[in-house]
Order: sequence, then C-alpha cells, then structure tokens
Amino acid sequence: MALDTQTLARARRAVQRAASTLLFEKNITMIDFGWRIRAGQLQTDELTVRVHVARKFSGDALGIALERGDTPEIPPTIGGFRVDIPEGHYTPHLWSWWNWRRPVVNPRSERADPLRGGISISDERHRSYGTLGGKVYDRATGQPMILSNWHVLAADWRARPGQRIYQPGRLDGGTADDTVAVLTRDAMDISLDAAVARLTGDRDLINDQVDLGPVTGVGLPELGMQVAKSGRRTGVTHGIVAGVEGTARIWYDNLYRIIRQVVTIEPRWSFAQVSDAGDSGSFWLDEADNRAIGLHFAGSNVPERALAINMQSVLTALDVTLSTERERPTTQAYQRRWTGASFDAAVHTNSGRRVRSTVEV
Amino acid sequence: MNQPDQSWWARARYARSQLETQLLNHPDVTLIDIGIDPQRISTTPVLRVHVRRRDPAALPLPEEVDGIPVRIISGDYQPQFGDS
Repeated sequence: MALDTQTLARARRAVQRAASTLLFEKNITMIDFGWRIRAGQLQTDELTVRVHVARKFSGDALGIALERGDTPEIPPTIGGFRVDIPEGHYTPHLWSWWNWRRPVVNPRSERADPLRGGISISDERHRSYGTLGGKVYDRATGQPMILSNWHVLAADWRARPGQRIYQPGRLDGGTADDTVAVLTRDAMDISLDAAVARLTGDRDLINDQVDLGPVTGVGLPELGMQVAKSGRRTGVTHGIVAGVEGTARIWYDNLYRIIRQVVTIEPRWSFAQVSDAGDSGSFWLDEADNRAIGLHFAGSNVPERALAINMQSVLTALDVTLSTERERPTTQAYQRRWTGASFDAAVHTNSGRRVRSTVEV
Repeated sequence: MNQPDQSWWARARYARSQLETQLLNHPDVTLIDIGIDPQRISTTPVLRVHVRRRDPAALPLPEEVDGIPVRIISGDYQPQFGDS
C-alpha cells in the first residue's frame, strides 16, 4: 500500500509522540502504525496508531488495572489518527548456547522413509524446497504417484517428464542419492499449478499427512469450512475458507500466469499463520472428516492469507485419484521433539491408529 | 452466512467472469473470487477483487455486477516455495 508523503510524515510524528509517552509504561509491548485489527482480521480501510499491549483489559477489569497502574490510560486518538489496541507479547526468536533446550530439528526437512504428505521435496535443478502433498494413483496405469505443485516438481518452463525429484528437497540437503520419483505430467497448460511424479520404487509412499493422519477422500470447498494443512515450513496450520472459484494472476519467476479454481483461506484466530514459503504443495483438508479440498500453492503474509487450487479440479486435470487406504503395518516414529532426556514421538501402530508416547533416550 | 442456491451461484460465476474480463489485466489486480464479505455488510457472498495496492481511483470498480456486490481487498500473492 502506498502512502502519500504527507500522511507518512504525520504518521511518523504520531508514532513518535505515542512512543515518548507510552512505550515505557507497564503492559505496553510495541507502538507502530498500521491497519486496524478487528476480530483478528486486518481492516485494510483504516490506518491507525497501534499501541500493542501484553494484556488487553476491558470493563471493570480495565478500571481496576488503571487504578493499580497495571496499564496506562491510552487516548482514543494520537496526532489525528485513531488508536487501535491489539494484544501482542513479543520475544526474540534467537537460539543461544546458554538456552538449555537444543534447537528443534524440523523432522519435515529430513529424509523420510516411508514418504508421506507434509515433508520436504524439490526437483533436481533448483536449490529450494516445497511440500510433498500426498499419494495419488494414475487412473490409466494404477501406479502410485506424488502430487504437488508444478512449481515444486517441475519449477521450470523447460522441465520435461523424467526430471528427478529429491526428498528432502535440495535446500534441505537432498542430492541425487535422494531421488524418489520422476516428473510425469503437469496441469500448468490449463491454468492449474499442479503436477504428479511417478515413484522410482526406492521408498514407499503412504497415505498419511504428518500430524493430521490419512486423507479420507476428496471434498468440495465451501465458504466457512474449517480446514487444516500439514506443510514443510509451518507444519500444521488451521484456516477458514473465505473465498472460492477464484481466478488469480501470479508472477512465476519471469512471467505472469493465470491460475483458476482458486480457494482463499484465512486464519481462524488473531495473529495466526496459515502458510509461508515452503508450504507449496500441501493438501488442505476439511477438519470435519479429513477430505482433501485444496492443493496449496501461494499466499501472502500481510494480510495473512493462503491460496489453494480446488482439489477435484486438480485430480481431474491430472487424471489421478486420491489414495484413501489406511496403510498397515507401519511403525515409524516421524516426529521428535527433544525435551532433555526424552522426546515425544508420534507413532503409527500396526492397527494404523496414531498414538503419542514419550520415549526415553 | 446465507448459503445461496444454485441459480445464485450460476449468476455469481457469470458476474465473476465479467469482472475478470474487465479487471484481470490491471497490473494491481491479483485475484477475483466469490467469498465472504470482508466488510461484513452482506450476509450472502460477494465478488471480491484482490489488489496489490489499494488505489480505487485507478481501478474502474463497479459497486455491483448483476446485483452481486463487489468489494476490494488487499492481497499480493506469491508461489510459496522455500528458497532461502
């Protein structure tokens, strides 16, 4: 959003004034200038001076907090701008040697056997990573395949069938030794950012989304539907379907492409993240029954929003069907969170039911 | 949110395709979809024009198409592969 220089100068003066009087008061965590936040959504029609507080008080609690000095009195306007008071407590995202916890290794970025949805993957030529979406079957041959985006599996207008696919992706350390599939076909020519890759047979692919479980079928996105995805970058995130049947104009490296059948997904909670770079290729699932409704391919951070492509359109275009079988027997600890002397492991039992347990190490 | 019937959806799809023809080549337009009213005024879905920069003066935006309200919302979208 472009601000004229006069408004920007007024905004800077207002923020400086607010900072000089409020920033060092108890309960104030940050002061900035931006869109108003209402019910967790950015209201892009109103610019405000935002006084972020660690804890937001209202009603009688506000009166008591003011009396006790737990929060300062905040004026309704500063420098001619309305004041918004969002809640936010911020901490540095640093890891340091004196921190007793070891940095968490993201298991989604590591080599996985068997393969499953939600882990790192890339083509052989680009130093990048996206997300392995899930398992599908070729309708013609019955062969199992990986479904993800065109820009994850092909990623280049010159890409040809047979291009090797690495797991983990190249940016996560994948090499030719990690080849798991070869590019088979894509749907970019009919404005769908989707592609499939045939497995080489080196590793199995199972119907399972890390931390979400198996896909049960394909569903149609509906406005208001609550959905979740499991992606390489941001893990499991939750959202709500806010738009359907969209047509987008997206910049791919060196040219614009039209993408059709776009589903728009927004956060369900204030300040929640729905996706980030590296989540491309993830499946969005209906939280009610784990049916896949969309293939994630793009997003924006301000405002936080994810874009997916209608899953039924993707399957039809690529002439594949979703795997819905319950895999068994598989015993695979795929998630580790170090907690000193033990780690939590999400384990698939022989019955196919996922359980959590703490394993001593 | 009201769930419109099939005839409403047919009308909305046609209206969306009309908006696409008019606006999708505009350099600031990134997405046109049918969705929840960002202003929470309409209880039925609306046509939404997502724009890279909010500059309505430069965008010939109708208030409605075939009786369906049109809203403008911010959104600048990129493919989400990890490369850094």
